[in-house]
This record gives sequence, C-alpha cells and structure tokens, in this order.
Amino acid sequence: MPDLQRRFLLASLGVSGAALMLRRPAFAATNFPDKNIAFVIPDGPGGGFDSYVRAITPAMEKALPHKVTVVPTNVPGAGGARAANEIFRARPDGAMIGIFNVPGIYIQQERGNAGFDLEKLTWIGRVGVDHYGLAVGENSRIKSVDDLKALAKQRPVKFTSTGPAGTAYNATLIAAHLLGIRAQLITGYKGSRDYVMGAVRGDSDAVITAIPTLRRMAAGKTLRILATFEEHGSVPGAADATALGQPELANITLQRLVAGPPGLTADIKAALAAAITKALADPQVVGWAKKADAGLAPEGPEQAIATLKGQIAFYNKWKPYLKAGQ
Amino acid sequence: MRRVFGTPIVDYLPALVLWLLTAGYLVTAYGYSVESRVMPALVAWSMLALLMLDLISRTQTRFGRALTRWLNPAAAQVEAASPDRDTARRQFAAVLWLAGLATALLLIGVLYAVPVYVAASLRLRGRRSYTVCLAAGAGMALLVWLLFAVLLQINLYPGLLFGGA
Amino acid sequence: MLHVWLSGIEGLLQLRELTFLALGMAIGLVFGAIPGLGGSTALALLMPLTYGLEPFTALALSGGVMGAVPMGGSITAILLNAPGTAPNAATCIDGYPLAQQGKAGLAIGAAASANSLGGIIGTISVLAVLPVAKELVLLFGPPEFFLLAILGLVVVATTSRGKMLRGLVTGGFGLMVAFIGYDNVSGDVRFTYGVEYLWDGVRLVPALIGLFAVAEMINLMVKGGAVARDAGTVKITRTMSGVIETFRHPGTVLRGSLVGTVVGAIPGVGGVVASFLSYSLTVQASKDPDSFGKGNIEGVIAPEAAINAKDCSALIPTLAFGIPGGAEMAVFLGILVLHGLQPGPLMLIQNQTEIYGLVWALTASCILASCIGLLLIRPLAMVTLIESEVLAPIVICIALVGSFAIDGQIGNVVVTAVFGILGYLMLRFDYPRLTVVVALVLGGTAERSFHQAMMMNNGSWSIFVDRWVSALLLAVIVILLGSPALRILTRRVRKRPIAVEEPQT
Repeated sequence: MPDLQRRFLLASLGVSGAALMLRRPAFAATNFPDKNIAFVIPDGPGGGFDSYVRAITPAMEKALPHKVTVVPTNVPGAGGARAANEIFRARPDGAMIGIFNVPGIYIQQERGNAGFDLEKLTWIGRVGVDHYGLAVGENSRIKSVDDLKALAKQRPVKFTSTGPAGTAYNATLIAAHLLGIRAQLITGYKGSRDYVMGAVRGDSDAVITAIPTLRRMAAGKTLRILATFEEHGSVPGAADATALGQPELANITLQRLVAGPPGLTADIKAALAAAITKALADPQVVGWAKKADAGLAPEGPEQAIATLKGQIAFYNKWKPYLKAGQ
Repeated sequence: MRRVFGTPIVDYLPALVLWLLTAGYLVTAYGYSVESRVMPALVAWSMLALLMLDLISRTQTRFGRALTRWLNPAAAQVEAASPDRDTARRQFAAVLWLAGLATALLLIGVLYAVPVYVAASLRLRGRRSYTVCLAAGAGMALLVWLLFAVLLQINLYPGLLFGGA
Repeated sequence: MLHVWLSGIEGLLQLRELTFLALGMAIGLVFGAIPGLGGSTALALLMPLTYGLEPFTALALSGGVMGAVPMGGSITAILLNAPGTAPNAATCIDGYPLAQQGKAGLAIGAAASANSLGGIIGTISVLAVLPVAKELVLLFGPPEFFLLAILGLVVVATTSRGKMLRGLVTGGFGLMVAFIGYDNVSGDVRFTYGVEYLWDGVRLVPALIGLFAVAEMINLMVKGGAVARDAGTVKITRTMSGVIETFRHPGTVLRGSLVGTVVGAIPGVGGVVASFLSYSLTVQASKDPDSFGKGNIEGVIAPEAAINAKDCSALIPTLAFGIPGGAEMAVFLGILVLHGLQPGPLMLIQNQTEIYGLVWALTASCILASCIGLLLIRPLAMVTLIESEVLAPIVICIALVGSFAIDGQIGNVVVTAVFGILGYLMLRFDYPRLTVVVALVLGGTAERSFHQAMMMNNGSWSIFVDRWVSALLLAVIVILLGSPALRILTRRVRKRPIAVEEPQT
C-alpha cells in the first residue's frame, strides 16, 4: 500500500498502543483507599436508593483514612440485576461497592439468567431498613383491618402493586396471606410512587408499601394508615404486628445493604465498614435523614450477612405460595 | 431490475421483510400466557393485514392503484424513480460506515473508536490531508473524554476486547 | 394568592439566586442540544453541586436548567434533524426542511419566540391550576391513561395524510417494538430472545436519536452536499421575521401551549406526546395540511409552544404527589429530597414560596434561553453549510456516544445504529417516522393501562363509560375517527364541480 497510508496506519496503531500501556496497575491493599471509590446505585438518579447514597458519600469521604472521592454511580437496568452483575464481576480492590435492595435483588437472582450470586459477595454493612404498612384511601369506608377482612369474605380485596418481579408484589401477597385476607393484585404500576398513587386515586381498596411513604401520604391527608408491620407500631392509631397477632409480618422489609465484589480482603472490608458506620453517625447525615424521614439502621458486616440470610430464608419459605399465584 | 406486477422488486422488499418479521413475532407471542399475548397478537395480526394491503398497493394492478388512491395518495409519485447503481453503492457504503463505528465502539470502546472513525472517515471519504484527519480524530477524542468521562464521570465503555461486559 | 406569587419573585431577585439561575440556564442550553443528554443528565450532574446551597437557590438552579433545555434541543433539531431531547423530535419534522431550504434563521427565531410564549402561557395556566392540582391529578387513572394513549395514536394516524396506510404500518411496528421486554402486568419477559439488555425494552431516546439524527446523516452521506441544499439561500437575516412569525399564528401558539399544559401534567404521558399531539392537531386544523413536513413554520411553532408549556405543568404531579412525569422530573425529585423538601400534598401547603419561586425561575430561564438562542443564530446557522463528509462523521459520533451516555449501556449504541438504518429505509421507501415515535412512547402505557383498567373492574368494559373523564375522551376519539369520513360525505353532498385531485408529490 502507498507509503503515506502505511505511515498513517502505523501512527494510529502506535497511539493506541501507547494508550494501552497507560492502564494503571493494581495497588496493594494496605494503602487502601488510594483511588476513587465508585458507589454503585441500582437505579437512576432521583430514586430512594440514590438519595441515600448521595447523602452518605460526603460523610464517607470524611471518614475514610485517606483522601479520595466516593462517586455515586448510577447503573440502572434489569431491576437492579445490571448493577449487581457489575459489582459481582469487579476487581476486589475496594474501588467499587454498591447498595442493594434486599429481598428485591434476590428475587432478580431467582429469575435465572442472573450472572451473580448474592451470598458470594462481600457484605459490608447496612444503611437502612424500611418496614411495611397497610393503608386505605382517605375517603374509604374501611376503618380497620377487621373491616378489610370482612370485605374479603364477600370478594377479593384489591391491592395495587408493581409487577411480579417487584418487592411490593411479594410483600403484598405475603402480608395479605398472613392477615387472612383474600387478595387480588392490580399489577403493572411502574414503581412504588406510581402504585401508591393508584391507591390514593381509588384504583384499589388498599395498598401495602413502606412506612415512610405511608406517613408522607397520611400527613397530606390522602391515605389513612390502618396497620404497620412492626413489632412495636410507630404510627399512633394504627395496629402493629403484635396487636394483629402476626409477628411474622415484621419480617416483610426492604433492607438497604452494602456489599463489594467477592474476595475483598478483610482489612479493606473493615475500612469500608468503619467508614459507613461513621458516616451514618455524621450530624449532617442524621439531619438529612430526619428531614427526609429516611430510616438509618446501621449494621456491621456480620450482622448484614445474617440479615441477608434471614431475608432469603423468609422469601424461600414463601416462594411456593407466591409462585402458585394469588 | 426485475418487475413484478409492474413494480421493481426492490420496492416490495420492506413490506415483505416486515411481513416475515411480524409472522415470527406472532409465533413467539403465542408462546406466552394469555394475558401477556393479547395486545401483541392483536397488533401483529393487524400488521399482517395492513402489510398485505401495502404490498398490493405497490403493484400496478387496478386494485393496487385504487388502494393507493384511497389510502396512500401521496405515494403515487414517489415510486417513479428507481435507484441507480451509484446511489445503491453510496447507500451501502453509508450503512457500512455506520455499522463499522457501532462495531468499533463495541469492540475497542469509546475512547479508541471515536478518533479512529473520525480520522478514517475524513481521510477515506473526505479526502482531507493526514494532518487534518489526525488532528480532528484527536480533537474529537478529547472532546468526548472531557464531556463524558471528566464532566459527567461516566465510565467510557472499554470495549469487549478490553474487558467490557 | 398574589402575595405568594410576589414572594416567589422576590426570592428570586437576589444576586445569588440569579447567578445560579443563569448558570443553570447555560448548562441546560448545552445539555439540551446534545442528543442523549438533556435535562435529566444536567440535573444529575448538578445534584452534588447543590449540597451546600439553600433550598431556594437549588430550585433556582434547577429551574434554570429545566427552562433552557428545550431551546437547546430545538437548535439541533432544526439544524441537524437531531432532537436534543425526545419532545424536540416533533420540531425536526418541519424545522429541518426549513434548514435545508436555507431558512434556519427563520426556524430558530420562530422556535425561540414560540418557546417563550409557550412557557409564559404554561406558567399562567399552572399558577391558576396549582390550588386545585391535587384534585385534577387524581382524575386520571388507568382507564383515562388508556384512552389518552389511544387518542394519541389515533390523532397521529389520522394526520399522516396521504400516507395513512404506511403510517398505520409504521405505527404498528412501533407498537410491536414497544411490547419488547419485561411486562409489569403479567411478569412475563417478552420478545427479548434471551438478550439481557432488552429486559428493560427498547429505550425511547436511543431509538429517537437513530431514527432522526443518524438516519438523516446517512441520507446526507448518500446525497452529498450540506444540510442547506443551496448555500446561497442561507439567510441569517430572517431571524426577526422568524420571531414575529409566531405572533402571526396566535391560534397555533395557544393550541400548542394548552395541549402542552394539559398533556404535560399527566405523569408518564408527558413531553413527547405533548409536542407530537400539538403538531398533529395543528396539521388537522390547518387549511393546507399537505404543506407540513416540507417546511411549514407552524410545524415548528406548535411543538415548541407545547414543550415549554409542559415543562411547567409537569411540575404539578411531581410536586403534588412525588410522581415524576419523566426522567428529568425524577432527577429533580431527587434534588428536592436531598434538600429536605418532601414533595407531596403537604408541600403544596407548606412550601408555596419555594414552588412559586421555582415556577418563575423556569419561566425566566425559558425566555433568557430563547434570547441567547437568537443571539447565537448566525454561528449556529453556519452549521448547515458544513459539508456532509465533515458533518456526518462528527454528528454520528456524538449521536452514538451520547446514546451510550444516557445510562452507560453499550446496547444503546446498537439500538441507535439499528434505528438509524431503519430510519433511513423509512425515508427511502417513504414510510412516515412520526407514527413510530408516538407508538413507541404510548404502546407500553396503552397496554398496561388497559390491563389495569380491566383488573380494576373485574374484566368489564363499562369502566370506560362509567367515569366521566373516560367517557369524554372516548367521545373525542370517536369524533376524531369520524371527522374525515364526515368531511368526505359533506363534500359529496355539496356536489361542487371539483376535478379529481392531482396526487401531491
């Protein structure tokens, strides 16, 4: 080929080759952290998990032994499976960690095709947990859980929820069964805000969702909270799991757990766990959590693994019932 | 160019290909549960019918021309020009360039594919001098890097060959 | 009421707030112009920057961004047929032909003024409606969403005049693509053939970028030359006449703004539908419908007015219930939460000053952005003179990389490339692209809402007439479907001696 063209090709190859050489080698664990840490969020910007991570990262940066940036990184898609895959396959050098929705992400893993294994990840800790509650529209004639049970004797009670791969769907079915209410789910809503709006509008008789959301809606006089699935109720006037005689309801939760790739060394894990715990105690974070009504419930690595296993066991126990449908 | 019912074959191709794709889509749809196949099946059946009408309307038969008049009058004139050899070659080349860039982005990643594509395109299609091409390629790579990697802090895809997912 | 409005303006007229407003505006303008980026990316980028800011300042910044994004989007839509944001795709349809005829200045001028007017009318409507926002949002449920989606599809199908058969074909194709992915209703994953990327379906924005920007660049590469077909006719001096054009079509502006305000307030339906609906309705109402798609200035004014009107009204469900109308609103919600402002019924009562400040910020930014757009017309219009060999690779590069950047998925690049080729084929074989877009946007909503409505009413279709809003929408659909037939009948009855219509080119 002509001389000029050959030189051109060689030049491009040379440039590319030089660029390749500049890839950074891995660093030793004792210097941790020595480069920026990506904190992966399994959803787009603006969602619940996103807010948590963005509130915590500045405090985390302060709490880490060396000065690096913790970068909130959104990796939405496939109901959280995409983010989980990235973290599962990342290098175990502490440069990438992520926040997980448990049991939501377990439901995704069970879908098959997943490519990741939650129990193999290095669990670092917990940021928060949400319990669920039951509410009806402000103008509903239903005044208590007993009213709902009475209604269920005449016809199935309608609940709004997300699709079968969502946490809400499973939470609603399990709760309805525990309460002895025959339920019919109106699925198809795209997210928690969407299906709660559906209940406010009157698409359904009742709705089961996280308590902070219910509190917000109740304060705005759009929903009335009938029950909270906690051992000791936090909403006056609403029955709690103990009063309803179903303590198992308190197992229906949304856990916000943090993990890194499999094979993270013990000292990196300890450093990250310590940073997260300190960040959750930071006054700015505490202040934000109060204003945003976001529960902070720190746990260390061992407790987080126990929580994970507990939630997986709970879900597995109910799986045959959930698969059979409503 | 062979003509069937008075129209060059190439003018039937899009509707024909789409008809086959829709048939495949329909077959797949029937493999799903009743609730989830209702709408797709409905749409697919309607498409098959519409595409048959489209194919017929492209013929020069009496019925075909009547269909065109009723349902697609604006199409009457466009049929006239058949593509010449040169246009076909340019179309093929344009599509190939696009496919090439997409493949390059997939294989060697954003930061390498962009300058290579821009430089190659300016050289082979635009016949600009080597200096201009290399400068433009480097400039584009810099722009992309600044805008996406630095400002937006997006991990620029490294390419399948270099460990991308 | 008035005093709250004024307190909102007062809060805005501080130096710090104005500075951040201007900053947001500049960023919004640039991000709006680059396909694949847009308001949501800009806001996400600015979120960490807002940490130390007072809530009101953060709102001024956000308002600045959101008000300017549409103008940025119009500029690339008109000059390059590359919609900067999804709603701007409707602007491409007549805006780009105008640029090809050398009238880019005219088009951008009209877009700028339509933007401002639409924004102002939208603001006034929103301010009037905000007190009853809660009740209005609650009127629209799954049966109404379904009928709205059908309405959108019907409107667009009946307005692809002269190409109705092909329009229905491409619309059907759009619907088929819309059904790909995880179905929220049944839990089935459909038509992915094992490809994990398709679990979330075919994303709208990459498809749009391909259908319009990439397809047009392929077209340019085949034809050669520059965007402006005849370099000599590029008249930059027609800017002011473009601005004035908008005022000469008050009906179009009003129609666009109202459609934008109403449709934009409905969560999930949103911006794309607002602009395309406004465009389609303008075509229907026009005395010369066949001139659209070839450079009719009303085809630029209508969607532009709608887009800016919808920006204001999209705030209503977001603030009243925390239901984001689209990606941009979702990120904005995140900013609110970060600053301790909880959207919901309480916010409408407790944070009125902030809300009105935000609305004013949006409006001010919208007008400012239009002015900046006007100032930059000369250099911008020069883009239409760049040779295709230089322009096409650069635009295609930015389009594909921008498409990747939306959420970092390399699969988006494949979608954009495929839709680019499809879009070119549609151009070449004369199939309209407008119906594909609307079908892609509305297909999922239509199906989902239909199933939900059936679940709500135990499988009975009566729900569509029992609720008055549904019944109203149903009536509108029937009228729209019937009107062409009605028109043909009345023409025959009058028995005017009209010769057989010459087929239009």
